[in-house]
Amino acid sequence: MPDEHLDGRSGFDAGGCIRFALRFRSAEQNQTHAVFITQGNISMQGDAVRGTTRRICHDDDRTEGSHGAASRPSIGATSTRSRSRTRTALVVTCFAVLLGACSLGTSQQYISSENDDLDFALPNEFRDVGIVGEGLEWTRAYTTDPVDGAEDAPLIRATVVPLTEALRDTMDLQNLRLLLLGDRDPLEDADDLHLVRHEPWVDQFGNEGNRLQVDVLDPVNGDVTFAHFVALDANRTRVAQVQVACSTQCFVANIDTIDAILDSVRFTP
Amino acid sequence: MIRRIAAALLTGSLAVTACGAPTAQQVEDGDASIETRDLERITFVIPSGWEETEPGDARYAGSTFAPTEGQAGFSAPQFQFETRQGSDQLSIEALRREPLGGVDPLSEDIGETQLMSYGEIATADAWGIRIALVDGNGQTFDWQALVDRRDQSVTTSLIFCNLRCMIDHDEIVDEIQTSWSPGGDS
Repeated sequence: MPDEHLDGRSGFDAGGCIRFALRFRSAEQNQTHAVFITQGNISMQGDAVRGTTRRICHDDDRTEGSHGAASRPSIGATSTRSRSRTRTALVVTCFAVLLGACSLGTSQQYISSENDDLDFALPNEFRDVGIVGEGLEWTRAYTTDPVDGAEDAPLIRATVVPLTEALRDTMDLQNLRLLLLGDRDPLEDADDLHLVRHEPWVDQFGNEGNRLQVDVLDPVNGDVTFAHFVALDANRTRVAQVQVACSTQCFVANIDTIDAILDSVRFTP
Repeated sequence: MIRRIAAALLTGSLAVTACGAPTAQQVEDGDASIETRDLERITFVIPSGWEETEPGDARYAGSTFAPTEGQAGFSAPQFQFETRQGSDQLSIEALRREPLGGVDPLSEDIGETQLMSYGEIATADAWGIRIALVDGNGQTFDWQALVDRRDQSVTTSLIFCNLRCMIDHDEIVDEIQTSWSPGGDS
């Protein structure tokens, strides 16, 4: 049974950033989740396996269900569920994890953009929670349920954007990097940014881009890690990207999965 | 306007020289193949008979079109090129603003200067633009900037002479500007 998409909305803000928000009901656990994504900033809220409500806020509070105007990522947890339901959920989760482990290596789904110019492989446990936004040729978001007591799960967003003439004329490699955090260059020398990976690349066809990973450090609310595959085609007319975000703790716990996802990305405009 | 364009074009050259960036080149027999020695990237082919007029400054002029003293620099086509270190803030618009010292000839007032042609280049090895401008005195500049995708280095090539001269040598100008090849190790 697929996840039930409840509602969603998307668009550009005044700064030209892409934003969308949506709610969906998890088929596996009958829980309602809300995901908010802005250009580079990701907020996530939903019921958890153990009956907790948590949030990762890295955005303003204008979307429904958001928890205040946090300018930095924050992670919190509040117990709201009964013990019996928790046990049931744990059993279901453990079973799901066992099933996933048994089929490891073959449980991949292959995602392709509308024009087949961006594709990548995702573990089957990731589900599509995305909708098409305005101005975007193609965009989807994917996430999974937290496992092993983790506070959150990786949130993946993939987009293909045709550039307007004005954007095309001003696009450069630094602008590609800015897509990850929205308004900050991950290469910026700042106390709250820790660059983990920066690999510019160019392929045999002249397409070029970056593979980035950066920790946004927040000793109060918790660190969040962002990873990025971004590509600009040789004619500089299209940008494709796959972004991953979750708490640094979550990121470390899922590093192999995340690396495999980003390693699998292919851009063939 | 001549000085304005020339100054803008030469500023980069002077800055590069001051910073010790490569300006040396080599010439081979027959159709001359010249390339920067240090970066060993973009290479151009120069027709036989052209000779280096200012050694070490990447300036070439056709000996058969040698300028007379009174018309130095504009009565015969002259070719000049240089390669400089690039950056990650190179865009099409940034390149377009170089020839006129910060003014975008496609979207801003360029006074008496006229835009003759504009084109963009995209290959697997490099991307860039080529632009031709003629100023109010009929001096014509065919300027090209190529960004090497491997290291973001920028090679600019300029051919200039007066409008009559440029029209007469239209084919050879085009041959030179399109003769570039990536060179070096890929």
